[in-house]
Amino acid sequence: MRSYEVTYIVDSTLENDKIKSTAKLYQDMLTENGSTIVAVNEIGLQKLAYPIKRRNSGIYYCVEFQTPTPDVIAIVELAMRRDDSILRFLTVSLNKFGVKYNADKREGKIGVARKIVKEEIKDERDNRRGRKNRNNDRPAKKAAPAPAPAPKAEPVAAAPAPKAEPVKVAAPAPVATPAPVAEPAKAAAPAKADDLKKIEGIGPKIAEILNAGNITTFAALAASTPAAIREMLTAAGGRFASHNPETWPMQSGMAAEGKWDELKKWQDESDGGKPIAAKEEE
Amino acid sequence: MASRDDIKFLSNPNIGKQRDKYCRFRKYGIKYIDYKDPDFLLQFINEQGKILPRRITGNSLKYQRKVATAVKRCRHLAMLPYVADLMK
Repeated sequence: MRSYEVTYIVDSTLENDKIKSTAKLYQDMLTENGSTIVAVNEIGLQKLAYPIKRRNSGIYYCVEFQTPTPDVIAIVELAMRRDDSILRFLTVSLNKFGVKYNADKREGKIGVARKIVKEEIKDERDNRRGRKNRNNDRPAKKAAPAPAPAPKAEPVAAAPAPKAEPVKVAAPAPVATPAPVAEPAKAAAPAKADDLKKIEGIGPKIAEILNAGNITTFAALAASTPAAIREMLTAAGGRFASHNPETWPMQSGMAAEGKWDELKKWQDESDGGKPIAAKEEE
Repeated sequence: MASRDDIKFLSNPNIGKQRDKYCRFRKYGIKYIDYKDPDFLLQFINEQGKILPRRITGNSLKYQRKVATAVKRCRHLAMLPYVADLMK
C-alpha cells in the first residue's frame, strides 16, 4: 500500500452545506474505490495568491490516504476536473518521510515541541548505553520533565531551524552535573569528576553532554580532539553545533596540570573561548 | 619579537569575510519539505517570487531540488504567487 495525499480547493462562494458535501464527496469516492483515508486536514478558508476562476479565496482540504490500487487517483482526478466547484487539486505520493511528517504534525510535534525532542534524544542515548537510571541519580533536575515515551520526533521542516531557541531559560538547573557520571558501569572513568564549566565556552548544558559522552575530567577532555567534541555537540542537537570547541582541549590541558593562573590569564585574553589568534585588534 | 598580538590593523580584517554557507536540511536533519507551508518556503524565494539559487541559500543539491519542487507545488495550489512584486 502506498501513501498519497490529495489537496484540493473548494470554491468559497458556495453555501456552507454545499462546500461540506463537495469536500465529503471526494473523500467518499476514495473509500468507495478501495482506499483507506488516514487523515483529513481541513486547512480552511485561505486567500489565494492569485485569482483562479475569478475567485480570490478558497477552502483548502488535504486528504492523506493509502491505496493498493493507484487507479483511484485517476478516477478522483477526473471527477475533480469536471467539477466546477473545485478550483484546484494536487495529488502527490508520499514517501516515508512525508508520512512521518504528517503524523508528527497531527500530533502537534512540529514547530512547537522542540524542547521535548531534545530530552527524548538524550534519553534515547542514555538507554543505548544501558544507564536507564541516570535520571534517578540526578538530584531532581527541574522535576524530571518526564518525557512521554512518544517516538522521537524529528525536527522536520516547518519551523525554520536556525531561529536559535530560548531554551536557555530551562538550563541553569543541573549544577550538580558531575555527580551521576562516576558510575560503576563505566569503570574506566576516573573516580573524581572535574567541573568542566571552568573551561571557557562550556556551560552547564554542554558539560552534561560531555559527561554523557564519557568525558568527565580535564584530562579526558584534554586528550580529546576538537573534531570529536564537535561531533558530540552536533549529535546532541543543532543548538550546540554553533559552539566552537577548538580550544577546549588546550584549556583543559592547562586545568589538568593545575596551571590555574595560566588558564585564568588565557581566558581573560581570549574572547569567549575562541582562539586568541582570531581575536580582533583595535 | 613582534607577536601576532602586536600587529595593528587599520580596519577589521574579519569584516569583508564571507560567512560559511551550509545546508540547513542536512545540518538539522530535515527530511521532508512540506509544500503546504508557504511561510517556510518564503525563505527560498526572492521578492519577485523566484526560487533563490543554491549559491545563496547554501542548500545541497538534493535538498535544493526538493525545495524547488515544493515551491512549484505551492504555487500551483495558489499558496505562493507565480509572479509578484515586493513580496517580503
